[in-house]
Amino acid sequence: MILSDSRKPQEFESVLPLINVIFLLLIFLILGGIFTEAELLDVHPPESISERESQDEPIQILVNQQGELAHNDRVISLAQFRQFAQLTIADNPDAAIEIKADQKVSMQKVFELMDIVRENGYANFQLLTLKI
Amino acid sequence: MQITADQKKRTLISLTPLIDVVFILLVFFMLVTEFAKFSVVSLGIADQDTVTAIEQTSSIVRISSNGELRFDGIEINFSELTALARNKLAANEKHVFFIHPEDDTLLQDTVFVLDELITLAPDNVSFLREQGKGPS
Repeated sequence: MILSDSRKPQEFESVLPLINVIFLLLIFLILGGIFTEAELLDVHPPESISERESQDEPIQILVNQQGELAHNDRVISLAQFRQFAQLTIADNPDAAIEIKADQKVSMQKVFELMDIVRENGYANFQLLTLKI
Repeated sequence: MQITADQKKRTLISLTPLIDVVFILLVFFMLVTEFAKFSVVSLGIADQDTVTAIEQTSSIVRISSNGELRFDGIEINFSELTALARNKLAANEKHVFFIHPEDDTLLQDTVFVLDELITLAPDNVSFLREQGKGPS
């Protein structure tokens, strides 16, 4: 008596493990990641051990390595930032101003922004960092 | 008597379009997903009056443009910073630290120093700028 496996292997059986792995990767990416919008300027924030979470919906200013500023998908000059700070702080004195600056930007640029914020009597000034 | 096997015809669904779609989804999520966790550090600049008032119980950490540190005028390594700051705080827990970066100092170098000092004395760290530089 010959007991042979008469079942023909299905064509797709060889790719089933691949599909499984891809599905797992997909689920991991969907659940584990955060969606971010593309930003106008290329900014790599400095690394820090700080654990403080960012406030909800802060007013975010981007500063790239060359010191260019951007807010709301628009490149702005320092004079425009000054004007913006005056208007924003008058309208919303409790909002946090969050600077997302490149790790290689000079401190001079950061101080310029801090000075503008301070001269408008605003204290809630934060620097966005990448948690190590 | 005729015995016929009740054979149901299995409809095979081609998996190729499914794999295509899943791959496209995978590429999409890989490109738009970010895993970096962000945090914030607060920045504050001391005004000159504050500095003068607490000059006796404060230390100034200067950071040069190439990342070299000076703690109260003495050149130190980054690894020595924590020990020195701890000693100052052991002598006086209200000891204040001023971080004084040069204009060309990189933000990352400054944040490293800020991290070290904020960990030890969260409320006693502030930035210092040279006289004459400030809000205009």
